[in-house]
Amino acid sequence: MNLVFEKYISDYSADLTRLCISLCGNVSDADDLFQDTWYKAIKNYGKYNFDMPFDKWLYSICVNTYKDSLRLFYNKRKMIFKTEEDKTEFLNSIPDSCPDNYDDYLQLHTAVNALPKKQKIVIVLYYFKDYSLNEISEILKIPIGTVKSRLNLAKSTLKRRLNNEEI
Amino acid sequence: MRKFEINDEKLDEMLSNYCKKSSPYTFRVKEKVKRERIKKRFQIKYSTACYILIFAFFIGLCVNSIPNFFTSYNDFFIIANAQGAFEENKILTAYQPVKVDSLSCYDYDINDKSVEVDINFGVCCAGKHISKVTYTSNYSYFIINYVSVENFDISSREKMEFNHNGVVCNRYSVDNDSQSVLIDNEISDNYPVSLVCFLDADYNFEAQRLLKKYKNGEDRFDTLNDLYDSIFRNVYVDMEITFDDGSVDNHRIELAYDEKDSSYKTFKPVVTATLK
Repeated sequence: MNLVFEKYISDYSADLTRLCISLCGNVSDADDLFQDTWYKAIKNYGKYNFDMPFDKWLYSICVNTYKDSLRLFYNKRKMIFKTEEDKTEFLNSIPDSCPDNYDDYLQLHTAVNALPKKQKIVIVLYYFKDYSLNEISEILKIPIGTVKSRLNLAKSTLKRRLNNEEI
Repeated sequence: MRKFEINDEKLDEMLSNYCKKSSPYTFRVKEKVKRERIKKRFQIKYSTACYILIFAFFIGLCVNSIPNFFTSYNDFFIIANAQGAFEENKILTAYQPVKVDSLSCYDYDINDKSVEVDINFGVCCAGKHISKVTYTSNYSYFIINYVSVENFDISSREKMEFNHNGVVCNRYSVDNDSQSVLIDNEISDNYPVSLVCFLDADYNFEAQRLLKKYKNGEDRFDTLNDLYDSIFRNVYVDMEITFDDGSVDNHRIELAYDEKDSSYKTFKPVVTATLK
């Protein structure tokens, strides 16, 4: 493997880890997705179009891998914290979280992971890096109107779930 | 038990925090993944030979079974069609001062037993300020998802109404992101653009219902063409746009086959905007 790719790995692994965990909701699936994403990125590097920033290209591989393989691999295991320590560690990693709002974030976590995969991907990309709707449309290769409608639908579903309203 | 209700701002804040959480874990790329780069050099000849063999086999298969292929409507065909003809199918039809833009149908996923057909279109009105948009459709599942306003002081437009089949819809939002998608350069150069509407029709429900009937052998459709036809053909939206100066424009937006090639293989729904 050449040095350029080593640099990519060192530069983008942390962010990709966060994206994988946000998408999969659990660490072991996220690690699988992380490895698969890098595997595909390395394998298809020859097709990489340098006009697109590398991170967006990498994230598009990640979400497509997640989306396409969802039925086979990822998300079979629902988010389960093996120990209380895991749970606390996870909650502490969220900025602004404190014991007072732990329940809210746990509820949000469950609600996000219960979203249909397409809506979940849009929500995660929108808040993960503050991508604009246009950028998400580019990454997912779907029309901007669809990005908007999925985002809108996901947010209204989450709001109702968090407020314990019927869906 | 939480005492307060989660509103939009709070949800935004929570989602932002949730998605920006620092990872307590560090994943490392495994060595076998890294080795793929080296391995690939040696695999290229082997894989090229495989591709050629598969391609030759496929061509042979197609030549022998073209007639059957297009009359046996199986899942494979629908998926292949979805990935090709339907995805990212954007057709622009200019009509000034109203421009209908960005139509797309895509995402059939039969394995997942879901069908998603969104049809998005924007209406760009240049040169005039709009005070009211009323539209009716013969399609009952037509919904507004977003209406975007561009270069437009929303605060002075409190009386603006979006009316769907007689029901006033208040769900509109200011969103500058759509500028690049919805405004055609030619129009924006020649006219001061005052408003861009972005309507999103959701055909998912109806498409699923029809496809289910089709797959269950309820013989309402003889061919896939008929199925698509029943989803898309003869669907229209009538829009009445009232401007600040009191003038009114009426437009009908229809979905129709591209008559040049009505084969479902290259099925292309088009939008037409015509004065009634």
